Amino acid sequence: MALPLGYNLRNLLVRRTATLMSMGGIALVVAVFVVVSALAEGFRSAVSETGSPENVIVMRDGATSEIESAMNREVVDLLRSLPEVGRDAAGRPLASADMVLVVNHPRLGGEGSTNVTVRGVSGAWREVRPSLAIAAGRWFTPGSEEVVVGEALSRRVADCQIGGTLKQSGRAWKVVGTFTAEGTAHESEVWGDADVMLDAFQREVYQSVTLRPSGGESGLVAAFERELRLKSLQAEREDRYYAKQSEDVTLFLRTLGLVVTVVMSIGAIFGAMNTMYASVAHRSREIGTLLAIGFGPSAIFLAFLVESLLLAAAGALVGCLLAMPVDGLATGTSNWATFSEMAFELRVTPAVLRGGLLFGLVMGVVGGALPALRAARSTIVVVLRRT
Amino acid sequence: MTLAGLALGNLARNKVRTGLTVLGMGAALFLYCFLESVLAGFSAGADIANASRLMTRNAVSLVQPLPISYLGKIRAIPGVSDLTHQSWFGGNYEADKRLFFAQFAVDPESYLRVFPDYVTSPDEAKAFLADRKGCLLGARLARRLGKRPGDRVVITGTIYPGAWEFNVSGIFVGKDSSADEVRMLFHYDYLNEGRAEAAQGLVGVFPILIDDPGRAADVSRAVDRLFENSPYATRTETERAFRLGFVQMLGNVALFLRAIGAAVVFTILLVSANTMVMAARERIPETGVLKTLGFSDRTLAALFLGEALGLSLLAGIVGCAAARLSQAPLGEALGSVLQDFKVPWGVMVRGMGLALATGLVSGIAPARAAARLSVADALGKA
Repeated sequence: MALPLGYNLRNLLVRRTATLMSMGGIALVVAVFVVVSALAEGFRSAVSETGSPENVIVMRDGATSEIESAMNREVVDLLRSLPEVGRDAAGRPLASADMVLVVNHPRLGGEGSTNVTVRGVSGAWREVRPSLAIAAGRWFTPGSEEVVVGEALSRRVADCQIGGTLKQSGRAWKVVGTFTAEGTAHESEVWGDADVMLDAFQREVYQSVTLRPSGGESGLVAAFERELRLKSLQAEREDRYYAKQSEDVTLFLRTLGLVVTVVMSIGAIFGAMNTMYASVAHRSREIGTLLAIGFGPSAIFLAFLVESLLLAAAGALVGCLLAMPVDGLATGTSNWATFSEMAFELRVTPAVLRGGLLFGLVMGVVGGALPALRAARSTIVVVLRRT
Repeated sequence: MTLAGLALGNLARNKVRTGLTVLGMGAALFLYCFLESVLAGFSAGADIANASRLMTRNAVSLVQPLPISYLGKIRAIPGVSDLTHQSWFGGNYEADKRLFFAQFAVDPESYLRVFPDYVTSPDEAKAFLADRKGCLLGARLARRLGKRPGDRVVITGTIYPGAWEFNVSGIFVGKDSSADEVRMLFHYDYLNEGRAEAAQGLVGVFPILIDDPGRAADVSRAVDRLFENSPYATRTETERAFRLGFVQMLGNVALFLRAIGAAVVFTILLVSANTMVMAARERIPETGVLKTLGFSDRTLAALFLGEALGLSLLAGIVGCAAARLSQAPLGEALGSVLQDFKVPWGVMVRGMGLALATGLVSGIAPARAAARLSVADALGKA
């Protein structure tokens, strides 16, 4: 026969201070878990969702990110003319040869500086990236020293607002618009005309070509084998490339979060065990009475475990609620893979919340099991004699 | 029995509770040390940066190169006593791609002169200077790779394609415990000869030694003014500012780490305060007995305070020692971004201070309650 749930609930309410302290501990741990997971998830999704599975990004063989790559004009032109590259209605190749550069620029509000990715684009740059949309202002005019800025970046970096002027490499780049890219990594970049930028930054090489192949990436790789001058290139599906760009920092944030929450939960579990042990000791007479009126040890074990679980569930719920407001919070850090600022939003996904709740419940079981065992092992004679 | 003995005896009375509290607080302090060490890792070297060292990089960003011909022009600037150059190589360790570390192409002789912080034996330094394909490995890096002088290291270039072979000439150790021992240094000439023509004669950064640290700002300005209108404009700053630039790159994540650290501190307080309050409540009758026996209010307050301090001292030792002992596996786990993770002594000292402070705070309430307790009430409850 089990003890009624109401008994557990009332027990928690009677010992209000101890209940609140243990609950607070669990709530804090769950809240920290949710926030750190939301941070890692926000970064991961923003970077890895940048690429499209229909696109292929071509770089020099061996380069792990665009800034490490270099492709001269001759190679780029040859690449664009391949029959494996898709065409638009007008017969133009669906490809954008990009110059990618990292510039150091002050943050908005004057707190130090950060590295910003500047991307010079060319050709069918908008056609291969249909998710781009102007948020305010207009696109840059090709051949001019105008630039557009990702919306997320314009809120974080100085001079990156519409009407602002970015002074870099002796030129004044006029910001004529801000654009969105569904919250992905491109929103943390400054975009302009590739040819103007190559000239301004004294560069002779592009870093990458993003293109839409007519028949998948395999045809393209075959073309690289065939054409000697393209031997030194590598092609990768764009979504896979960006997934890789997010790996290092996501792993770092996840590891950080895991260490923090696991260790914190050990602390909170010990705290909860303390209160549970105290509660068991305090209620020895009550336990004796329960035993005397016929409840078995297993019923008592269950009762204390359920009490601990209720406490943990309430704590986990409070923790999740505490952490909910960070959802959508705009933040930024450097993506070490691209060596530049990456603005993103924290994302409290259902999976993150489920993880937090489960985490809290596990803490309840682990923290409650031993004290519950001690309670169940009480013998009537011993506990009722001690007065 | 002395007062301290009594306080310790009280701790030993409920061993399960004391053990749980010490472990709980210890876990929180472990975390505090861990988070602070991560932050310290990102600003590594900023605290010990040499005040008479400047760093000159391309004004656009660190990623953009500078021509090596600047070397002579900067040397001629008054106040500059010595300089060298270093270039980021950015390659993957062939044997294990997940094992990332920094490689710098340097001018061996002047680099070791400008950075006496990297200490190597005279024999190994000589071997390094003599071998064009030679390299020096930081001590921690050498341990991680399992390499000794005489071994070979193969790095696949990401910026400079191909498999680059190096001979390990020697191992260097940091003069200071926070010097970066997870980097590899090799000959710039070897890189320059092996890379594409377009990249030849370009370097990354010029570290500069100046005569008088007080004139750092003047010399920096003089360097930057010299190249202001050239295609390769420069930005010169102190080594400290240069290194802090990497911390700034962390952005708000640093703020998050600090916020989590604060939550952790709050948890420590919660755990230890909870225990002390429980202990005090349990002992109301005996506190009454002690008072009856003639113990003063002040002595009783000291008793509870002492117990709280003893508890937190134990927790501090457990937490800080655990952090220090686990720095190797933690460093491995964080290696993708933070190459040189370690738990500095300074962080551990702060952790101990924090432990004692929370002990003091959590002991105050029970101590005051014990001092104010009236004997009649206390014994009446028994």
